[in-house]
Amino acid sequence: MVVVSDITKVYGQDAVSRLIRRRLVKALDRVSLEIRGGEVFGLLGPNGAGKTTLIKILCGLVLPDGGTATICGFDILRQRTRALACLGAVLEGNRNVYWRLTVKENLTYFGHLKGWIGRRLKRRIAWLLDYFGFKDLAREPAANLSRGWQQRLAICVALVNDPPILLLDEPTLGLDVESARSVRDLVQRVAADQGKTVILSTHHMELARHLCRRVAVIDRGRVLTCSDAHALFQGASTQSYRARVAELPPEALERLRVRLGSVAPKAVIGTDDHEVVITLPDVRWESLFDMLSLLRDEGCNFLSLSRGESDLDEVFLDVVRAGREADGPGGSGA
Amino acid sequence: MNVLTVLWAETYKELIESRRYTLNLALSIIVQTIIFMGILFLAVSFSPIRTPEAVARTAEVKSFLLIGYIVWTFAMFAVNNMGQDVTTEMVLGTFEQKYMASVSPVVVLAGRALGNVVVSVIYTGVLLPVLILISGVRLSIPWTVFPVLGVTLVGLYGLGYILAGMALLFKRVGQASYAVQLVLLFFGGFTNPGEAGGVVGGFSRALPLTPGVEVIRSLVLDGARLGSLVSTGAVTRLLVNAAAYLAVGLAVFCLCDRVARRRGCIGKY
Ligand SMILES: Nc1ncnc2c1ncn2[C@@H]1O[C@H](COP(=O)(O)OP(=O)(O)OP(=O)(O)O)[C@@H](O)[C@H]1O
Ligand SMILES: [Mg+2]
Repeated sequence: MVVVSDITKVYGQDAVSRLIRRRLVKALDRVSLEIRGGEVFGLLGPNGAGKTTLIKILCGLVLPDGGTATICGFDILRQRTRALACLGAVLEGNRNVYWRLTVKENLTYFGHLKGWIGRRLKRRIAWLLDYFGFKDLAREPAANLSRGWQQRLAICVALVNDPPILLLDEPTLGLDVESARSVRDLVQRVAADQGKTVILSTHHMELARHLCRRVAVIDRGRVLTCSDAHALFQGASTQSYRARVAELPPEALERLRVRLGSVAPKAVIGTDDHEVVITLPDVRWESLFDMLSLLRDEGCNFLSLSRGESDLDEVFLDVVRAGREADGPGGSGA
Repeated sequence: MNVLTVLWAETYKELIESRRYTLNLALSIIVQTIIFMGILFLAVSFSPIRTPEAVARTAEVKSFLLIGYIVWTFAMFAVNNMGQDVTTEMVLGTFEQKYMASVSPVVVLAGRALGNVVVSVIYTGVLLPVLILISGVRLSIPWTVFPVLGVTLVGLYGLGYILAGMALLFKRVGQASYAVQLVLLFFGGFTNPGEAGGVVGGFSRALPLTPGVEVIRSLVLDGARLGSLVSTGAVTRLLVNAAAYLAVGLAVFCLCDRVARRRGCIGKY
């Protein structure tokens, strides 16, 4: 459906940027992905990872410096208009529609831009208005809609020519919890009922877990991992135990470290504001008992024991951190 | 088919939006009338109105200026709006969606241009009678003026494409288009390249406005036939000029489009 191979983008190589001596920024570094028909695919990554750049390349708004991408088999460079006919996009921010035009005028106008006309367009618009719940708002100028409904309208407009692929760049950015949830449900419905292939970028791990079948984590222009969303977030449900004890003298701390290493090698000891925090990322009871008896043997002043679930964000950060460690310092500047 | 649909959509939207600017357009007509009165006043003050020949000459000068001014009004729309529209849409944030239409951005802009022409025809339809009334000149306009005007507009919108391309890269082109408008007004609308001769005459004729204005003046003021103007070379000059501006305009726009897409600054403001 969408095949991205070896896409590289370095900003600052065009004539104007060179003229004003812009710094080179490597936004994408040989990115390859394959998104299958009908799946919801998530692009996760911290700020500046290159998500928007990748989406804009697929939209034909940014020219890559290397690599190829095809949409429904059409090359985005050589068959631009045919590739574009296969997708609708909602880009970052809330300015994807004309605020002064009404809901219906927006749909009509963008329908025309996509080459639809006449009765076919009328029927499509009537259907969309109904499906997206705009029935009573059709004559409302987009400016009067709430932020959440504007985003809904943007998605609606992106689907006006019934394209098989929907690209969403941070669809819930700036929305309150309720609106974000309603947009999420909408996307899910569009994907499930309409069989649309959805590619979305987000910072919201919860959104990604809820919607995406597969996700790619990208950072500094590189794909760190591309896997089943379920598999990636599986780690998130892993429990860990955290024991807090009062501050120890350095030699006692060192002894604890050594002894703990032999009974529970995965345990992590850290110090935090007159406390020692021992995290045990292990669900086995024996390790927990071993750790507790060790703490007693060492005469630690026990403060608390808690069970924690490492959250989705942690999983994500772990992937990014691991990627950066493998990469070494620096990186994004080319 | 898609091309026609997009042309229609753009023209239609331009009309919807202009309706909301009716007041603005009305004010603009008043401003333009004031400017034209000022220019007439200057022109008349510098010619001694004593002899009957001088009086006749003044009337001639007035019609001469009026035609230049009216055709320049079309140029003003072309030059002002093509670049300005791109900037405005970038600010609004809708530009990128527009760029993803089913046809190339060149066609989308052509639709814009077409809508613009329609608006400028309506606008001039109001302005011209007002100016005729105020200046007291008598004009009879033969139908041949319209195709000539059409060809002139093609060249002017070629220039518009250049400004639109610049707007893609440099965002704000207001001052540049203002400068271009002034040059067109003084060296296109008001200069008589035949009389000026030399460098000024050459420069004037190289502008996209002048050859059209020259032909229209011959048609309206001298009652010349279009056929006879073909033999003097005036029509050829016009055609070559318009074609050249269109070709250069499209080439510059496409170049700017490429650079802007490499730069990733389409829609960035
Ligand atoms: N037009 C541009 N010119 C120069 N550099 C750019 C341009 N657009 C993006 N960049 C840089 O490229 C890198 C990737 O940016 P991009 O917007 O693709 O990231 P992102 O993943 O969408 O980030 P965010 O989460 O902040 O939206 C960043 O370092 C950014 O500063
Ligand atoms: Mg982004």
